[in-house]
Amino acid sequence: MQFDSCFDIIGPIMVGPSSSHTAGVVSIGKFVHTWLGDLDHVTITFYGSLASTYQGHGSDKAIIGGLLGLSSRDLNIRSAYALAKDRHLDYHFTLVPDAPPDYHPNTVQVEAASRAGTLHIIGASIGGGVAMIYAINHQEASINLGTGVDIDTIVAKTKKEVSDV
Amino acid sequence: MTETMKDIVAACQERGVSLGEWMIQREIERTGGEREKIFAQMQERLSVMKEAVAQGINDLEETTSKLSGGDAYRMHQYNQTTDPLSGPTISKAMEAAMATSESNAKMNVIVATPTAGSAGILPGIMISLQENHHVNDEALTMGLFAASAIGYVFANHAFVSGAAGGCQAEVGSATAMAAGTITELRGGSPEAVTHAVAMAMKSLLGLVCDPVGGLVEVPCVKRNVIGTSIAFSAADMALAGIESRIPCDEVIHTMHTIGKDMPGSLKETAEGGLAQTPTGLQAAQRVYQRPCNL
Repeated sequence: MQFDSCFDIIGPIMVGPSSSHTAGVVSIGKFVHTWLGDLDHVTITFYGSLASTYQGHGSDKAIIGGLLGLSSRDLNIRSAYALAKDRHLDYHFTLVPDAPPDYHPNTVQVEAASRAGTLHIIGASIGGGVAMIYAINHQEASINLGTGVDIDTIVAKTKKEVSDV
Repeated sequence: MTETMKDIVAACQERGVSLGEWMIQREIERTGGEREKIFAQMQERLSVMKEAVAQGINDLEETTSKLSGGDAYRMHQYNQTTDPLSGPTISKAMEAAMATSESNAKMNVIVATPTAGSAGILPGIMISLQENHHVNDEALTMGLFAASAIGYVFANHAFVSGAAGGCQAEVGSATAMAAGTITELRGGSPEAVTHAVAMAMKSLLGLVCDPVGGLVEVPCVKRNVIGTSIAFSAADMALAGIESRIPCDEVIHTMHTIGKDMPGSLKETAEGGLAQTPTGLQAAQRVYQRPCNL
């Protein structure tokens, strides 16, 4: 079940304009920031609908905002590029409008590096502000980043599971 | 598989509770959280909705694309100075829906209900019910739990994103949620709620997601506005004892089937529909001058 909480439906409280192309994308970025801390370099790949319509939905600002640790209701998402410059975040975007057929239309891949290490994730923003992480460092995963989910807790738990493998 | 509308109605009837009460009880059981805290979390969402509307009706500014903005102000002035044809209930809902959707387009803070693209409809009907029918904040908050129970079925049995199912999944789901919520807040039974949901959804089946320039502005803002009047019409029918001849869960299933059959060009890619009109393409060109740092 991907939408479990009443707050997945009535929520999130968020900066517009799109729950799937803005808010859910922030959560994917924030997952990476929570995992690695302040980032030095990041390569972002937008697939499918995200690659076609990111400008109109501010998806680029959303992912950068999340990668800087902002939450989806933080108005500073609008100024994510300026903030990235201030914090010396080196970022690159790749757009793949024709997503592989088994990918959700709103898939994002992030390769990130910080002093703490590196991380490669594939996730998707599945609608209504809910995001999923489908792969971590090329291992399959199924992590729900719903509205009621505490990202700190989920990252700590996932890190432990990964190190146990 | 998660609960259907039929399952939820059966559970409500068994316990003698409303849909809103069923949903808050489910959240308490699911999380082990305290009722007061969960209720307060939902009430915060109502407050954010009201703030967005209050800000939006006084905001004459256009968006950077110049495709929307300022119309909530116009609607508000019109409602204040004339006798709107839609009557006070619907015209107030239209104004509040427009204010919310315009705020959303300007990257202001809103509540996704169930999505940001369809965020105007529920605040629209809520604010109008309060102003015109004296529904208090506590009842409206319970109404949001009812709305989330309905949206929960849509999200898990069909979809709520335009990219996955077209606009019928966004404005369609939101309008259906609003229709059911109005019915419940006006004293309709859980079963009447499902008929309102079904009737609202049926009138929006097949609606495509064709945003100009990929922006959540044209036609999204005005579809939210008009969604409120569909919600009130469906609720009035249900409250009159009129039933949907196709059961609610079958309508939701149909929305899912239609959404899967819909071509990708009509699912939030801006490759079809209004996005591809000459005017739409011109607007898109202006927007696409802002590339990300490739």
